[in-house]
Amino acid sequence: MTAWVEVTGLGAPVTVQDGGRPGHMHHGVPPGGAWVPELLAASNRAVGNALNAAAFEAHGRLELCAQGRDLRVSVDGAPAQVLVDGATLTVPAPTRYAVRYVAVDGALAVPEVLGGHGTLRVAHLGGWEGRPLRTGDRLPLGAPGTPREPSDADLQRLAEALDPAAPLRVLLGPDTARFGDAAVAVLLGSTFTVSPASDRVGQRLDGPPVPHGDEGAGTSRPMMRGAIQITLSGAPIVLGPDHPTTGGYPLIAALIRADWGRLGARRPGAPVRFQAVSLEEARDAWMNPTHCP
Amino acid sequence: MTRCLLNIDLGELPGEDEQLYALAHLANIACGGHAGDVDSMRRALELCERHGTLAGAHPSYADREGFGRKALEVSPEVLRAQVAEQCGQLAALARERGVPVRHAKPHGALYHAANASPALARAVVDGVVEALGTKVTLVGPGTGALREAARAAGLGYAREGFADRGTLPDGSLIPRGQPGAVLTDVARARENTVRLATGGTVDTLCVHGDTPGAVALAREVRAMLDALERPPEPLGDSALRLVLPEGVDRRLAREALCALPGVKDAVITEAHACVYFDPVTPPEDAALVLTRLRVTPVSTLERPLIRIRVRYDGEDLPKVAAHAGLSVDEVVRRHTAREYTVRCVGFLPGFAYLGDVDPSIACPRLATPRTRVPALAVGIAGERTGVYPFASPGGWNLVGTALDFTAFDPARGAVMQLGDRVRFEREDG
Repeated sequence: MTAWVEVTGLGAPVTVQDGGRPGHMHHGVPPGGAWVPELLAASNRAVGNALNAAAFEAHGRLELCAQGRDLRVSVDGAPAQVLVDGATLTVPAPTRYAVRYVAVDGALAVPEVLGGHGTLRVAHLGGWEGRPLRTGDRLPLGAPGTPREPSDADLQRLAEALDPAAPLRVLLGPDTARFGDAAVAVLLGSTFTVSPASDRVGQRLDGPPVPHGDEGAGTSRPMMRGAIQITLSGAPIVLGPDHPTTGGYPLIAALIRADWGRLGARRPGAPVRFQAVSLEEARDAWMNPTHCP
Repeated sequence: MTRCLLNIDLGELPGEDEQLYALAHLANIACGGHAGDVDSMRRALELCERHGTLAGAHPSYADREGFGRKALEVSPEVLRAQVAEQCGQLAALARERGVPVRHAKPHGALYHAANASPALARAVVDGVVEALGTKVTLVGPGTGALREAARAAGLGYAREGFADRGTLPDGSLIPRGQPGAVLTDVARARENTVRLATGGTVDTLCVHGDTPGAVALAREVRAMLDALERPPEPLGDSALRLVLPEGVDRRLAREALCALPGVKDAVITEAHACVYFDPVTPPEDAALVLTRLRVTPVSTLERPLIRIRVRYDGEDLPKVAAHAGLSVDEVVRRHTAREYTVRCVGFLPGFAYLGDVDPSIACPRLATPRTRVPALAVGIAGERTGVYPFASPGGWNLVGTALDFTAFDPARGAVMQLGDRVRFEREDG
């Protein structure tokens, strides 16, 4: 029996995303993956999918219609709701976080490209025809697994991981020496806000300019999701899942892996404060069950 | 950490491996005392020059039969004259070639005897100064009479450790002839190297050219020293950025890094390599893997040649021509005249940085990047050229459009890969 989920309406860009396609940076392909990996994992778990399975990453309202069977749907890791065959569900635009994740049992069975199912817009690759979804798109579904009701502790941990008031933890470097102490003091001592001009390539931050007189290497250097570039105007940009794999701007610090989702979840205008931690603290944070279930 | 240099005793044996000269920072050249003659010294000096190795003298008791290994009863005055004569002979030959001789290290039994006797140490130093002057560095044990004598004479002094010699619990060397005196196991020598080079008590490490497997051992010690000089820089908690050693094959470097346990991906850029991993399983020895490549001779397979037809219709072509002071046709001729190599892949899927562009048509990138460069635009930035695989923002000078070309294949990835050869061909109309 074949089943689909049809997009019957949407209010802002929605793409198919999954756990990403690591291991292809040497082709110039960024790692991709969910903007807020914890929310994707929680939604998939609630409907019985593999945690990194493909789901909807929605910036606005999303209307879905079940076709071919009854579907279980989880929004942002909430307990699964049943959408009977032929019925329509309206998922409102995100309010708590910048994006929301809508997982359907069986997962979105879009073709695998270079080991992943996520949409990479710059290369028109992956997801559904390499583009944001449109009304009328009918996405095939895989075979459903066994849903798992999230415990209160699960949801509590998720809320803590994405706490909108928590500091964003960074490791300073590798180019800190090219900035000087004053720049580091501004980075760690200021409150920035998430700029509306942010996308999966990078989150731009508004706030006091971070001083530096460095125009960058001129030649390209390795980049990494979470790396913090400072533009010539002094605005920090935190590289996102679809970042260019190489770049010339010096890097003052990099967000720790455990906090990728915490920053991704912040809505435009939300405050951002950075806190420097050690490599050991970064690893301990990553071992937390929200990240390594 | 100050730099720790590798010194190797050379010019001692027939059939010596030339690679040892490439691996040594300092060559201690036998100058007739325990081994060596005019021919061997000339060869050693020539090899030092070829490999950029610092040449030094390796004087000894005059004992060719015993290879300078046993202590002889020699008066300080005679010893001074012997050392001066040996060093002087090397210095004379070095002057012929224009190779400076800036260090000296006593050999074998003399090394130990002089370090225990202030009178003999002074004789060695005086002999060295007589032949080589005072602008030399004496290499010797960390403490003892040689160091005192060198200091008193105003010479530089390099404290030496032995990468290939076993040590007793008190730190002294296990005497030759006893078990464990000479380390032939590369792993043990590597541990020894790290301990000595980072301990702050030695300035230079020695590998003996006559130890079995000397070349392999010297290679590992040199790779380790080079790796210690360039520690990886954390790029967050799940990547390490490394300086790419000069002369390393970029493709092999990537393959070697990817083979390390825990590495999920590796990227080569102009001057760096970067490895990516899970925060809890960082790879060890990433820097060592790269420096090992630097000291290991390799034969690389020739990579395929990719031909790209280009219509030279880029909107920056007149500007590039004006910058070069050439006609547009001449810029095109020079752009198509060369075979390029893929130096890195990055920025966008399938974007290959090709180099080097003929310096006469190199052109700095735009001060303000375009918000949209069309797909398949061919650009020049500095000494790099490349093809935009997709429409994207970009700051390169646009000189043309690639025809019937795909830079990125969703099934296979980048079409142009590290080390591939690329030529552009002009297509009119």
